[in-house]
Amino acid sequence: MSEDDNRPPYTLAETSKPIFELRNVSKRFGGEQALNCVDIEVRGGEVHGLLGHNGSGKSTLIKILSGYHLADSEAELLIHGQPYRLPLPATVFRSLGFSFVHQDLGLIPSLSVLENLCMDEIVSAGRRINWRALAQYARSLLAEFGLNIDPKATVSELPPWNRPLIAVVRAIGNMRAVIADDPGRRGALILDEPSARMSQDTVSHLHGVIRQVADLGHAVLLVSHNLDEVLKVTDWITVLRDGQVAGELATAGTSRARLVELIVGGTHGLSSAPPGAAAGFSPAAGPAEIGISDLCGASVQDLTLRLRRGEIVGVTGLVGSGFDDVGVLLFGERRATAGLLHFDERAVPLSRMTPDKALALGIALVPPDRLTQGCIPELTVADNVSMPTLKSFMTAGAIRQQKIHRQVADWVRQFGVTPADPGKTVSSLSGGNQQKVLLAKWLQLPLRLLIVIEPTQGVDVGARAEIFSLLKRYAMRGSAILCCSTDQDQLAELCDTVCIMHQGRLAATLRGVDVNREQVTAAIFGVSREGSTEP
Amino acid sequence: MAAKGMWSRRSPTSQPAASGKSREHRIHAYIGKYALFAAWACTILVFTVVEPHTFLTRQNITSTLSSQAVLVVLTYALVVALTAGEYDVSVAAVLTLSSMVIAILNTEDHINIVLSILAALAIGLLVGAVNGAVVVVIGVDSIIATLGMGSLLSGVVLWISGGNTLSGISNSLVTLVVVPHLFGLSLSFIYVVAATILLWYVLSYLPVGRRLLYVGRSREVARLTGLRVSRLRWGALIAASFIAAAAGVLYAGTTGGADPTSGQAFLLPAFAGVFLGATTIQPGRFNAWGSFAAVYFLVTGIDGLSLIGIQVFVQDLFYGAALIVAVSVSMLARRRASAS
Repeated sequence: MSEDDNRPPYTLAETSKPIFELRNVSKRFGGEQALNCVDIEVRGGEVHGLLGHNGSGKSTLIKILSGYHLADSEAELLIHGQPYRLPLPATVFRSLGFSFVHQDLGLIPSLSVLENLCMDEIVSAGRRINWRALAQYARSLLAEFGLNIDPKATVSELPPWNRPLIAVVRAIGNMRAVIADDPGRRGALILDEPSARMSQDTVSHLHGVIRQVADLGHAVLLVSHNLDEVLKVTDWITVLRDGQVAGELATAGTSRARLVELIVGGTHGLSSAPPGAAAGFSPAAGPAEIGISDLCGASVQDLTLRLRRGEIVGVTGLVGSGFDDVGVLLFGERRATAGLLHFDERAVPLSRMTPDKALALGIALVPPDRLTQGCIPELTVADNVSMPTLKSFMTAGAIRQQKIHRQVADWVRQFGVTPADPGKTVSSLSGGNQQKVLLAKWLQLPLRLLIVIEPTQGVDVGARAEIFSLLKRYAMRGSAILCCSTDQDQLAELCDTVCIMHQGRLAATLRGVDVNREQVTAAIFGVSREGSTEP
Repeated sequence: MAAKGMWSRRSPTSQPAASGKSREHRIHAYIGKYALFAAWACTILVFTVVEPHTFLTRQNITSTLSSQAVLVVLTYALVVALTAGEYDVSVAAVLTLSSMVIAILNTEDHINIVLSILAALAIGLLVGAVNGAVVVVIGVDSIIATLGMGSLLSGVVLWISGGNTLSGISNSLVTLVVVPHLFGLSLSFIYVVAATILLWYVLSYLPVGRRLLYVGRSREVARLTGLRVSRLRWGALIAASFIAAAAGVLYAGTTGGADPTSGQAFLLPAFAGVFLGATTIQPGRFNAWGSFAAVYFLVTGIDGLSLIGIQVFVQDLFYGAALIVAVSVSMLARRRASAS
């Protein structure tokens, strides 16, 4: 830090100097190498894009930088050329002019914009909070970046797509407040998928803000799924694939095809260029067992899908495309605004669906978060698995605990839960075993449609394969499975058909031999270009 | 966690250590489960030694068992509400209102005792329905909603009674509650045992009891499992008020009258009982027999202390401390239960 004081005033040449560098970052989770010797260098005056598909190691890298994960040894962090030891405490980071905007924006919705923007100042205020000065600061900050937002408004009253902008502007303000004393110093802004849940016009506003910050000589690291965004706003791109740097390149002169190739690996992605968009979709031949027509609600618009008995259909897309809303709307966890569910010549309006009605119709949902939505972790495996089938354990007016115990012991053995002890609490099991318990809870029932959302999140490789085979065997017995996921490998391995969504609409469908990792990935990114050229 | 699971599966050497740990764990769990009974036994032993002529006499035992029926039943109101994850702090006020309604209808308006009792129970249902509406439909936190309701009902009691104590309730009710029968035990104790068996059956052997537990532990999981969460929470609050009103009937029978304030004194002991009860029999869960044992353990302590001639403030001190200790211990018990 003391060296910084002697630095000459900021000149343009300075911008090309790296503000921070990460070197030799490796990270293992259990048996999996999440990151392998990754180097990244972010210079002043530069917007640096970090690209890669789900599971490529992007978020692990950001979490190592912010100190959430501990890197394996040998990793180095250089800031303005000075080595620092990881993990660097948040307060030190802040004092060096680093500001993070994570996917969870860190806003408190029930407070005002002013209170959110000035959270740092309020927390560190000495004796009395000078509200007038803070209000003035907030107003000037919002005005500087062209945001027409009343600082007195409550954040929860603002449209959700405005919130990332507030978080970004706050991060910029915090970054500058720290380095204000020295006009020559430059900070860094690290943004983790800020645009995923924003509307088109606010995204371009965000891009303007990002450019403005970089033009002042600061560094911006932008993590994104969206190729168009990265091509539009960045100067330099690092692509991660399978935990390694697949490519580093200047944005000028690169093409979208080149990026897809780097993300997917090999040149396979090119030949299978974006499959047909919405118009090209035709209903599958053969008797459709379950049909969904004109589903609207949350971020989904006019979705029509068909699933046959025994078929596993994947639904995917970029974050914010609405792929994850399809499952919750069908189950009635969130209310759809329109849409019909067809089966056995019946048509059920989805706008009146609730979870208990869905179950009565033979539709179940395996939610993505097993510990807060799927299971009650402090209760036993038997308590959790018997939850939907309590009545079947009634004999002579009373539930027989013995009967539950025996039945559940049988189930967990079949599902490969170790230890196969129904008396254990769910919280004492490993992630993979918890997920198997959650599947046992639903797969014991004869369902018409099973909806699974990210069924192997945080599960080790062995359990993952077992879960795939459990789901496949279940489908073979005559149920349809809908799998909402961003995990391309999982979709390729599990699904017969994969539907790709873009901006709430069905944009492409892959079947049969087309369902492979490369084509799914290429379709997700390819489709995002098709969509963005729409008005 | 995934890594840990793989480790223990692949490494045979970790097995003996793990099973040794789990045996130790089981012993700890066993001690934890019956610690309350050990404490109870010690309490009895100490007071028997200190007060040999009065404490362990048949008369003291039967009067202790019989006189606390009201408190036990009120505790069950809380068992139901807390199982569903709702705090109901209006139960003591419902009890007072119930006994006052019986006293006024029966002594001032000369209405048949049976009808008076039915009216009191109906008022319990009504209060529970209102509590449920405020908590479930409007979404007010149950502790706030019932705190308000409790104060409101206390006001109603003072208003309808004019602040006076009433006496002279029909003898048939008094006979049905306090007159000694079996081995000097009054019928009220028999009612308590019957209520305990009923509550135990409902919570442990009927699907509705399990469902209340699921809702109480995680509304989100319960909803995604297709349970009608709102209905169950509302039902639990109605049941709690109804049971509190039933405790009020016993109270009216025990005293042969009603006074506008004394019922409030049951609230803290009832909470102490329900949380202490959750440390035993089925540790980590609010349960019928645990609460039964816990209330009588607390009452034994109070009874012994009063026999030695310790002053009245000890009662507040004892129940207050017991509540804090009980909640802390049941917290630890729940944490331990979820780790095994």
